[in-house]
Amino acid sequence: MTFYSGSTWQQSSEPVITRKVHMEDDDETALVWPEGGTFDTLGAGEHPVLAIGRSDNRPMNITGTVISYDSATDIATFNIADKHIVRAYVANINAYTQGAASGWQNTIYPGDPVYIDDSDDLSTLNTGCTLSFAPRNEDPLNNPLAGYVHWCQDEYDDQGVGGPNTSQGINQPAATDTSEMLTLCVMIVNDHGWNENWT
Amino acid sequence: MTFISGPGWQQSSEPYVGRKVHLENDAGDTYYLWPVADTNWDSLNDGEHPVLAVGRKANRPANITGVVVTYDSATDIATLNVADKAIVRAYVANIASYDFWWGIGSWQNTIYPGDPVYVDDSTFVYGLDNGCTLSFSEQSNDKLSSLNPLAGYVWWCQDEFDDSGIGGSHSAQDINQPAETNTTEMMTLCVQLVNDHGRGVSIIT
Repeated sequence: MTFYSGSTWQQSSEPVITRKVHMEDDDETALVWPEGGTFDTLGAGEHPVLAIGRSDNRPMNITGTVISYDSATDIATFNIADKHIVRAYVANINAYTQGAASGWQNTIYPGDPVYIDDSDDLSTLNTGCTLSFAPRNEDPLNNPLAGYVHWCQDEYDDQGVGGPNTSQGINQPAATDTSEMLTLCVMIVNDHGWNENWT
Repeated sequence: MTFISGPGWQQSSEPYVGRKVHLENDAGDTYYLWPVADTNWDSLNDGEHPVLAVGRKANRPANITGVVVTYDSATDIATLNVADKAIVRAYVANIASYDFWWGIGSWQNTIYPGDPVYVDDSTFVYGLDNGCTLSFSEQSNDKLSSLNPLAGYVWWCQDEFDDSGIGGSHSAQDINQPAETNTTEMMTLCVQLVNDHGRGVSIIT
């Protein structure tokens, strides 16, 4: 598969702060990640949540959602506004041990923190999946906070798009302790803040 | 008492980012707003505007924080303003830390603008007032495991600026202060909300 695309990626109409970002520096240092390599290569019409700035700066990277991409200039336009909500691919992995997934978010709750994760487990699962619940990647290096799981517009009980629903509808993993890619709505933030799991 | 209510809770007209949040999950066993759902605290009602943490307590301190703008009891959905830097009037306990015996360790005897304020679900906070959700303590009284999410920073209310602001010029800045030292009190303060849960240097272990 590829990065998230289609007509339903936007789950809030505001706020919007657009910023243009070169995908790489003139010396070919990647300024947007994870993209390329084992992950999908950004194309027009794709809307992944990505980290901005060198991965050497991790976890102190701004995070945002790609709105558009111009392959002629290799410039992506991001929405980097705090609290906008997008639909995104998220792996249910929440920890790694010795380079392999060792913990899973078996139940997903709104408000659970979600991180940009460049681990091979994600690209193996799906080359378009850039997020997980793991505060550290497989190496283990700190992952930038991307945001928090939130209800999609049609996932509120008794309210919201599509009329009243009988229950809240956050997607859940099909099996326990098994790596899966979920499609979830994420409220994007730019707080790289320390997590209690970091030292 | 109850959560703060009345016409003076909003102290800035912007920014505003409204986000709807279910009070709890369908099973009713996991709360997405706290400490409101804790039995020790006030129940959320129409017209109340507490500052709360969003998301499970298990994620603490990695919780977004915001102020309740409206609450619909029919759907159990609260609309929160989660915008960074909104200023609201809130109840804040002057507790600054807890000791290793789960008692109060210290107090914020003088309140300064810019002092960080946390969502605190400690027994001492609701014991003081069941409408109070904030304190100056970065950890709850269950300090071995419970870091408090950062809610924001003390700020001047609109009528607390010296020689400026609502009500004409004032002869002095007027942040509320505790009546006594080393004594637990609930203060009514203005707080500039932020959503940076980031751990302070002092609590990185």
